[in-house]
Amino acid sequence: MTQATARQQPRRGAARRPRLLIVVLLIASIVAVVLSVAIGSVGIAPLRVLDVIRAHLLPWTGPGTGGLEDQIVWVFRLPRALLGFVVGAALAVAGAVLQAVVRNPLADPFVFGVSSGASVAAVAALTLTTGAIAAVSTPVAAFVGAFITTVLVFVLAQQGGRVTPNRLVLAGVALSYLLSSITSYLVLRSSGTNQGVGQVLSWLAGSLAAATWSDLGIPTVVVVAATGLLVLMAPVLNAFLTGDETAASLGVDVGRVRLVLFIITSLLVGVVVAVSGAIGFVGLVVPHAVRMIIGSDHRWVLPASALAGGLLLVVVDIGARLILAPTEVPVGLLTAVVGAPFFLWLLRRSGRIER
Amino acid sequence: MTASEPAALHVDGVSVNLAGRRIIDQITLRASSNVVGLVGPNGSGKSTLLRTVYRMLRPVEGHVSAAGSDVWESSARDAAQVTAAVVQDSPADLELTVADCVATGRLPHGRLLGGTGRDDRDAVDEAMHAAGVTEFADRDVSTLSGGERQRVHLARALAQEPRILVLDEPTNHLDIRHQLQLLALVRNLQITTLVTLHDLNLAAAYCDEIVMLEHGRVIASGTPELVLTPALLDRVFGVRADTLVNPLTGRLQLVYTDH
Repeated sequence: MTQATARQQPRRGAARRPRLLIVVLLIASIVAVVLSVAIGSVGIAPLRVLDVIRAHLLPWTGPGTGGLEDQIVWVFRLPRALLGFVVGAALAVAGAVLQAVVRNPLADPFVFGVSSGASVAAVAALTLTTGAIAAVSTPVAAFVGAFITTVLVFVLAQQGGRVTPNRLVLAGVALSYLLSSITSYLVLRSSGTNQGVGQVLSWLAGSLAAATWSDLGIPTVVVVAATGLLVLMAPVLNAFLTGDETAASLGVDVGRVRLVLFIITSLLVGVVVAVSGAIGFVGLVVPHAVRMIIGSDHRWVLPASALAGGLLLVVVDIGARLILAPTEVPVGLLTAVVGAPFFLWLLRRSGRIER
Repeated sequence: MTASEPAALHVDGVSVNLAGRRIIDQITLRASSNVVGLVGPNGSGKSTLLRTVYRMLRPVEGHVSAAGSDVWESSARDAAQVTAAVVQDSPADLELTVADCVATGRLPHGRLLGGTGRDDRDAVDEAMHAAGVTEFADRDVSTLSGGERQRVHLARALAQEPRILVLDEPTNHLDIRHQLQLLALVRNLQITTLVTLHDLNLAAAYCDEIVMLEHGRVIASGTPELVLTPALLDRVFGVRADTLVNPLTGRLQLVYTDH
């Protein structure tokens, strides 16, 4: 073993502190949510924000707050900040799971056409005035679109009863192009009649602006339940990393478990895309960043990704409101502007490690 | 790991079709000794046969039984408690630490969160020790050399505490020192092992029994001396070879001569 000691490498594992990262992310997330509520056209002191939240959550501990500031904090800004957190968490967890089950670092909800499927259905619901789809609300349409697309990707990737990671990625990419062009067609069509184009475009770019408390319920429940379930399945995800054959030899029913994981992620993505529109790059970038810091053990990657994704989207949403204030930039545009260079940097960096 | 009688692997009349083609045809073999080698030219069905044992590929007919229980009648999890495999497709860029990778071997025994019980930790430590990878425990698998990585996967398989071990070309891409090291390690485990090998001299040196496949059928099986004969090597592999007993090791040695 003399060679092994001669080219000794830094003991990367020893430096990884997953628990520390989780604590840091948790604190940062709380700070970010409070700041997100404090910052805006009307600035509100962070302590005042906390006081309003206290008055609503624990009304017996002191006087109610009331007034304009109370309304701004509780009715307008807090639901938006929390929705941003939930959406970011869902997208990041979905990305982490997809990257593991197809062992492809480029996998995310967009690559698999899940987001495109949600978009087509949502845009159809927004622009079409006839047919059954016109009667469906945008969130429901987006959710159903995401789900159908996932099933379709799986069916298309099937060959001889087996689904391989590469075929899944190819089927997802192909379907996602097709669905995007259908979306473009629907947008063009409706621009002729000038029907809700602004609404469609802002939905496609992704936005948290319209968030209300009633938007929060279902996504929060789904995200918490799905993330909890996925953390319980973390050892299985780790097994997927070792390859399909090894996973099978470890007692994982590879085909069935992959389908189950896909359905859970499509549920996650569908439910948040439905309320926020198409927000890209969070699902791609966050899991990578997390793995760079704490490694690939999914028992830690999943909770850390959830927190980091939520934190990122809350922070980016603050930026989206500030950059061109008083005009808001759609948050989905900003995640792409921040995410794309980060991703390219990541590519260069990982290239250097391999050489 | 257990001192009890070596478990037996029985393959009974197993056939596999892929894309309408018969890949292996009614293969029957029994492995109950320490190391049984599976040899044969490329495409003779060695890996396919192993896949039916570690539950990757369901046979169209026949039965595989490991330590007395039918592999394809058991649940995937139960089967994985008996049989462990080291396969060829393991990704080289695995970004798990060695300890985490070996811990995936506890999956078939595990509770949901896996690898956290004392017996799990002991099994992982023992497996890493047996495969000689303890010193790499905290390193990423992706930073290891091919030989080290192969030992990590062996450790992962041992962490399953299997009674049957299946190895698909474990010496591929390893230099000669690591090839010998790995096979010596496997021999010393005292677990019933079915291993595919391309190098027939390695097979002769390390296997108690050899099964030779051709076109998806068993052509011969038995001791190395019985199976690795000049006549069979000529017929199955298309090579001319002389056999002799290595005076240093006392084992069969093949010397390839011109066509």
